[in-house]
Amino acid sequence: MARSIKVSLIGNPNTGKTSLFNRLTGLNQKVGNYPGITVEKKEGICKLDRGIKAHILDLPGTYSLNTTSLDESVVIETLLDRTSKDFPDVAVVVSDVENLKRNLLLFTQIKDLEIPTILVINMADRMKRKAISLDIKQLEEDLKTKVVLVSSRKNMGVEELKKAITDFKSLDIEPCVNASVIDPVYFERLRKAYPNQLLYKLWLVITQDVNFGKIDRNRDLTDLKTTSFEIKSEADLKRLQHKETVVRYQFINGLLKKALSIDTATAKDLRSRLDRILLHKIWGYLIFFTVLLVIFQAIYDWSGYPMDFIDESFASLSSWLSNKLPAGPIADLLSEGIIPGLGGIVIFIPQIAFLFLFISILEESGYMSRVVFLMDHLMKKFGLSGKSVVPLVSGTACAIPAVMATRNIEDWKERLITILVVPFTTCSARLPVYLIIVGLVIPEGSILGGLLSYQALTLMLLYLLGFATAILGAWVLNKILPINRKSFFVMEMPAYKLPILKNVLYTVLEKTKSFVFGAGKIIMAISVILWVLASYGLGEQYTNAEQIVTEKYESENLSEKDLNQKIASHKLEYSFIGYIGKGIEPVVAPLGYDWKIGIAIVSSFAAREVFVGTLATIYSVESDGEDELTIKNRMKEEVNPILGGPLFNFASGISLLLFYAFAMQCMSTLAIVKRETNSWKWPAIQFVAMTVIAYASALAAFQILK
Amino acid sequence: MYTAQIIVVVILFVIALLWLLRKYIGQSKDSNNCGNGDCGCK
Ligand SMILES: Nc1nc2c(ncn2[C@@H]2O[C@H](COP(=O)(O)OP(=O)(O)O)[C@@H](O)[C@H]2O)c(=O)[nH]1
Ligand SMILES: [Mg+2]
Repeated sequence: MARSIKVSLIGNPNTGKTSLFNRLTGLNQKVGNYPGITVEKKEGICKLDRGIKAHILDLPGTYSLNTTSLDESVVIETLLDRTSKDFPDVAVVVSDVENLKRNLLLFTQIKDLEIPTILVINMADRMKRKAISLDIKQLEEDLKTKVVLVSSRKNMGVEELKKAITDFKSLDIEPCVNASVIDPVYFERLRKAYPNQLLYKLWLVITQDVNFGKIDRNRDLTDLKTTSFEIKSEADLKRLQHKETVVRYQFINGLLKKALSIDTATAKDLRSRLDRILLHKIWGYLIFFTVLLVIFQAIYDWSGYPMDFIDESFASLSSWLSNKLPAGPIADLLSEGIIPGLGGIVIFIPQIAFLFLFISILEESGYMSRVVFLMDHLMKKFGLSGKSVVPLVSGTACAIPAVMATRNIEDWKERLITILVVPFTTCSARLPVYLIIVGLVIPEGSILGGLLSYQALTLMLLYLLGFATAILGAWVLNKILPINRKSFFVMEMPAYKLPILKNVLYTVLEKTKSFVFGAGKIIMAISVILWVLASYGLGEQYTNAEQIVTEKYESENLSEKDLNQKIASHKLEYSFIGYIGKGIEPVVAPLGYDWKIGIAIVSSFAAREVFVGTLATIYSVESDGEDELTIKNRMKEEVNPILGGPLFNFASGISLLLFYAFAMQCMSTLAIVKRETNSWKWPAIQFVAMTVIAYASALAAFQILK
Repeated sequence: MYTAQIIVVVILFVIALLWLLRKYIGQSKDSNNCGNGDCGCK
């Protein structure tokens, strides 16, 4: 008979819940070696013996059931409401063998809710190195439940865990700590007032109101506040909660004294030695800068060849297609519209892959947490707590998960400020624009004896500019919307680990795929629209273009090729897109751009990474399709219509870089900000403010440098 | 032949336009399933 069991994975942050979830379900959710990665519930299915299925729920990390933040409240809401569809048949508490003491606090709380609970002690593979030994029998006896030693990395103990889940009915549900000793009289009265309710659950619901006003109380407890039951003051409740924690730790300490031993002489302390250097007040920052420099240099050095190769392949694909296909609008749409547009995305695959390779190595190795720690020191000076750092750092990949990661932040205003400044962090969608513009306008050459090129240095400065603006923005916003209550931030320092090749490659593959497909779909649509608008037009100037241009250049004796080129340019200028572009031109001309860049900027509001693809499509329509020019060369040949000289020069290049650094050109981020703040007000403010900053700085840069 | 191609192009144009409009302006469906760390949840 097929049955299904509901299982919740609960535990402190960074104990390997998501890794275990992936092991059990065969899914691939993102794991990360720093806290705050999983902020939403994730569900997956695991097949057990005898046709039984387990519905596994991966919950956000939480330190205790005394919640203070939104993501932690997800856990307690799930556990308190027996009628909820997510209420587990069995709770699997995941702990980390190196932090058992702290992890067990949460375990004892959940056990007291009288839910069948299994304790997983994860990262068992590290026990030998750390010289840790455990008496599992003793643990099972005192904790009154099944304890499973697991290594989700080495796939050890997972089968045993599955068996324990299958047999969850045999688990003891007796509490292992008696919380009522903290105030026996009060608890006795509570029990009398609500004889049908679980005592510890009552206590949690009462204290929940103290910590977290917004939590939905269970239906059958809603009358709690209205009864004449003695209500303790907030201070009293807080005091009692504190006492409860002490009682629990006493129990845990007693237990671990019996069941855990660490041979400290053998456990080499590489970690603290490394931390002393990497977190040093001066060395720490220097090392971080060096790491950044190496990354950007590598992105340049390694991706140049594959990038040129892709660029050339797409150029020849276009001209091959236009020769092979029967002439007509469809052939043109393909060879001048879609293929160049796609080329403008695909060309960036190597860099995006390298960027994510580095990001995931930094995350997996544990170094990213040290970066967060370093940034935390900086942030405090600007009025934010360290909890804002995780979103800002993870914003280097994409602002969307970064905005979601702010759910860790308890204080609403602090959370809002973080959401508002996160899009300044340089996300991966900006990288393509930066790379192509930097390649065009920053001279080659290097400092430090060839180790560091000007181009890589510029790229690093752009990333730092993103962080600096975010921090400065937070400081300014903090002056306008003061934060009342600083979030309490315990920075979890995970152990250093050698990144697992499989995890790293998987992240790289996934990220690159979602870059290509996400941006690819958008550019397909945009290039179809652009091509139609650029290839058709109305009016005499368009329909009679051949005649007008031929007459105009009659005396100049142009070759046929040049004349065709002139005609194509003329037609483009009087096509639909030409008219739209001319409408935009007055706005962007002071920044040093022509109307084609104007169109590319407008389409970038859908997603920044389509900038290059948009230009590529426009340029292809303009050229008559016979010469195989690569995107880069086409951009190099553009001439500024007003000032003459190359369109992409130092002044207009810097102006474009600044525009992309500051502008809020990402509809998806705006949509997420709307969802997370529950109003259009904040995304609207964000959009207007960032666009104004972008425009003003681009204008200033061009006018000063030109 | 030529008109048929024009018709195909016009249809593609309309599809592309509608797709973009729906994606960005239409109802933003509650994407509860968009994973963390994943830019693709649009
Ligand atoms: N050595 C070791 N590392 C692990 C194990 N399980 C997870 N990790 C690492 O611990 C870190 C946190 O894992 P994650 O699943 O994201 O934890 P979560 O925050 O609880 O979801 C990652 O770097 C994992 O690679 C394990 O069994 N052994
Ligand atoms: Mg997780």
